[in-house]
Amino acid sequence: LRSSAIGSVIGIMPGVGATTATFVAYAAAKQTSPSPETFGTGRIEGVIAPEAASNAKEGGALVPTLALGIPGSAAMALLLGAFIVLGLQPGPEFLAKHMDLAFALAMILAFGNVGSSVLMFLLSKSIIYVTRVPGHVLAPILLVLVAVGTYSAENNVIDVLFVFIFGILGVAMERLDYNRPALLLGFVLGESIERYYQVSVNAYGAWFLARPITVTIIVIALTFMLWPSRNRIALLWRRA
Amino acid sequence: MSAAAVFPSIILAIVAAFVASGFLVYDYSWSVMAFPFGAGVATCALCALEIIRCLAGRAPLAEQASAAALEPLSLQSLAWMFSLALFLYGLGFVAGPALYLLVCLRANGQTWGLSLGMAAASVAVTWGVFVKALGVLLPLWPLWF
Repeated sequence: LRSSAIGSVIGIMPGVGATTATFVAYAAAKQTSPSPETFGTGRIEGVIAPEAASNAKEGGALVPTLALGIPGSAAMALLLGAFIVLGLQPGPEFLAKHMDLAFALAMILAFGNVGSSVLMFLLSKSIIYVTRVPGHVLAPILLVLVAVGTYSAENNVIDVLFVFIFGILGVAMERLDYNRPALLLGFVLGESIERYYQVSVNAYGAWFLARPITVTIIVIALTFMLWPSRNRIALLWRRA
Repeated sequence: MSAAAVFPSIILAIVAAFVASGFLVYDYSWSVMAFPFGAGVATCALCALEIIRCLAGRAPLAEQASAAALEPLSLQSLAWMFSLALFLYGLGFVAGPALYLLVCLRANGQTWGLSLGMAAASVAVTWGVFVKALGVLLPLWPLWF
C-alpha cells in the first residue's frame, strides 16, 4: 500500500520518470524493513514494492495528462497523442466537458491492474517453473536478449559495447562491495536533475535553492533520508 | 581496504575535473555553476573522507552492497558471459547469439538437444521476430566485415 501511494504521487509529477517511482519505493521498503541488510538476496518485499509502485504510477500519471494536458509518463504521452488525433484536447476544460471519459479511463486502468493481478495469481503455478531453470542456462539466454534488445533501441553497436563496459564496472563494484543500485539511481536520475536544474536556473537564477518551495522540498527530502537513522543521530547528538 | 579506495578516488577525480573544467575551460558563469560547485565540493569532501578511512583500514562510511547470501560469480562464469561480445563482433547479431548459446550451453553440460533447440530459438527470435517482424536492422554480417 505504501509503495502504491509512492507510485501514485510520483506518477502525478510530470517528467519525473517511471523508473524513479520503482527506485523510491524500493528504497522506502528497504529503509523501513526490520532487516534491510537482507534486501538484494531475494526478499519478496524488494520485488513487491517496485512492482506496486510501477503499476500505481500509471494511475497518478493520468491526473496531469487529463487535467493539465501534460503527459506523466511515456504511455500517457501515447494516450495524449491518441486524444489529439481524435480531436480531444486534454486540459482543464477536458474534465468539465468529458468527465465520463475521464472516469471511464480511470476505471479501465483500475480494472486492468486488478485483471492482470488475478491472471498472474492463476498463472503463478506455471510461471514459477522459470525460477527453477539453472542460472548457467538462464544467464546466456538473458544476455543474448539484453544485447539484441539494446541494439534494437537505437540501432547502435556502441550501446551494446556500453552494456559490456557497465557489466565490467558492475563486476568490479560487486567484488569491492560497492552499492550498484546507488550508481544506477544516479545514472537514472542524472538526466532529470540536469534538465530541471537548467530550467530552474533559467527561471530564477542561481538562488532558486533559497526559494521557500525549494527549501521545503529539501527539508522533506532530508527528513525522509535521515528518518531511519534518527536513533543514531540522537545518540551522536547526546554524546556531543 | 586500499582497493576499496579506488572508486572514491575515481569519483573524486572525475567530479573535480568536471567542476574545474566548468570554470576554467567552458567559462560558465557563477549563476550556472553555483549548484554544481556546491554539490561537487560536497561529493569530493565525502570521497576524500572515504579514501582516508579506507587507507586507514577502517570500514567505509558508504553503505555496502548487501551481498550476504549471494556468491560472487566465478572467473569462468564471467568469461562465458563476456565472450558474447566476441561472438557478436565475430559473427554478427543472428549467427553470433545462436552459436554463443550452442557453445555456452554445451560447455556447461547441457544436452545437445537443449543446446541446439536454444540456438534455433535464438535464430527464430533475432531473424524472425527482430529482423523480419519488427524490421530492426540487426547487423547480419560480422561487425569487422
